[in-house]
Amino acid sequence: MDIGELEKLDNYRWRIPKSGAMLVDGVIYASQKLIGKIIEEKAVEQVKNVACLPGIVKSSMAMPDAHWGYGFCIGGVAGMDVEEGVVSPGGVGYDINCGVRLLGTSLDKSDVAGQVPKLAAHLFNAVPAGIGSHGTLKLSYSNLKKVLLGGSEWAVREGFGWKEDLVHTEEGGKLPASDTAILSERALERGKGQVGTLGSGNHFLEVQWVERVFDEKTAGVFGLREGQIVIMLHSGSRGFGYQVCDDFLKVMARSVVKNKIFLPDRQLACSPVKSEEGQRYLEAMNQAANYAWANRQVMAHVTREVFSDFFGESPENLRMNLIYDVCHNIAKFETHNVEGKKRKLLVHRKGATRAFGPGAPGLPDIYNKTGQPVLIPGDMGRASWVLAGTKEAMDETFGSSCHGAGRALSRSAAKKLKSGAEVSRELHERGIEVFSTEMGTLAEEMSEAYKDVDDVVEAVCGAKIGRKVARLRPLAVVKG
Amino acid sequence: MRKWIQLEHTADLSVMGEGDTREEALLALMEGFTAQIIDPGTIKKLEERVVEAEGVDVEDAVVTLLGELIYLIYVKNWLPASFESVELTKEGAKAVVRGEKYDPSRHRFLTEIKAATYHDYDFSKGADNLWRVRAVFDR
Repeated sequence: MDIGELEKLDNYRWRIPKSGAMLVDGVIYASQKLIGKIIEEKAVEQVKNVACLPGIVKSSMAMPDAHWGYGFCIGGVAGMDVEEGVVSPGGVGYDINCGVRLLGTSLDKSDVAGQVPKLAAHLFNAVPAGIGSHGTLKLSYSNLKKVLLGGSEWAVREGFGWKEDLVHTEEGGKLPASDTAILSERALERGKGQVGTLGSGNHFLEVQWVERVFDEKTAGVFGLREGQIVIMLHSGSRGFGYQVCDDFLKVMARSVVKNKIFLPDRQLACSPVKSEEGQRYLEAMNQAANYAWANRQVMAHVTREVFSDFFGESPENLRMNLIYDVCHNIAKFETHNVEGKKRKLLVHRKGATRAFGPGAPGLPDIYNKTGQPVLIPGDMGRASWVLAGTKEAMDETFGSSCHGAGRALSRSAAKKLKSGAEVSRELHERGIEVFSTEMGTLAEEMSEAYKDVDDVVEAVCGAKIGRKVARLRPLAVVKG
Repeated sequence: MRKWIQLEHTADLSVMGEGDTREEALLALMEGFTAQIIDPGTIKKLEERVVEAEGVDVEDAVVTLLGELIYLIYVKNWLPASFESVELTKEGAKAVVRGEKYDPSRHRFLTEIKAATYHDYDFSKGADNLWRVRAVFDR
């Protein structure tokens, strides 16, 4: 491993000093164990590139799960000044508001013993998954537009969930949006049939159990206890979000020329936050974010119905409360302390999770003293984590943390290692039932294809930008 | 002579097309990336379509053209079996493809590709006089 230009600040922080066209330093949060892979993955170059964007404040950051992305690395975080800064679709990603939600239950692991395969099959049948999957929800264009403006509120209003779900969703499950006329016909076309669908690749629905609680008090506030069955759902804005990103990359390419913005990487195409193009992108991005929240809300509702039918109890009696829903790919206006002064920023999180600490504005009252739940999916064979946001994250990373384990192997390399059938059999032998529309996806998503999420969480907690609350283990996995 | 190869990429899909001319290289790239999506051997050449794209330059036009193919496949459910020809101008690209409508009884998608990106894109002529075009796709 060539550390090269990286300066080790402590066991969990690496600085890339400002050089060339960089306007600020780069900071990578990683342990000695992880930094080599991050360097191999060319994330360092991407952190440096982001540091060149106009209006970037403090530093260009990468979380411990950082790896190669488009423009920004996955795990990239950047706060832009709202007056002088830019907004970049590459800092949000194609799958706008890809995110994770966690539902609790009153069930214990012993309550599902011997029933997991059947339960998993019911979930697989109920939640549409796979390539280009379409939902059972047939929306008119008029109703689709209501989804885009209403997000989770729309879903709850239509009967897909509980009012309390909104309180436990980042931003209440809705970002401000008012003008669907700015969207391309193609975006609407791609979004029309996919509300309530999981998608493919690394998106999943998992039945998990709480293997270990690290902080009883915080876990109690979050509604978690050892042995408890919980459900984790990972999905985003599907074809609609990809199309919005694609459409606006073209708009931004022209804006870059018009505004004479220097870009070290074309995928960082951007526009001043205050420009017409910037404002239009933010309007469209908010609508894609709302689509993603509605999508996860509908799937959570379907999951509650499956559990209710299966266990013969209402979702309320099964206490299937939404613990939290967090975004991974988003840009949002937030106020943060920068060198002792409060500044309004447009914080880009690309493959990074908001990790607001105690007392931060925008959290539900119940999480005011603990900090927000930070949901970190790992891989389908090992573990996932629930952390809590910290004051240190607020001070250092604009209240951000990692979003997952991060890939270690390419999809083709993973496929060469094992077949999907082998992966399924091995997981079954370990008590994990997996259902997927594609065996190829299972091979691509095998545990060995990912870094060990425990290592990533260790680095997050070592840097104090997250705090361990609970470690979750999978029992049943539905993959696209 | 045109051919394509799939390149190693941790997170997503990278494909390189190679040929004696720019057009041949691009045709190979299009064949290579659609072969990741669906087995071309299962698609009949029943219908001809023209796929067009504009861009601020050739790179933009090529990436946009690849995006148009993604749209054609996943949204319009029309599957390209063969790429007959491609024209490249300063700010545009136009491909003639043959294929057919998706038929779930005969066709099986192998993977979902979300978008063509500008990331790590390269289109150049090597010392061996062969043209190569490389693109990375978001999955």
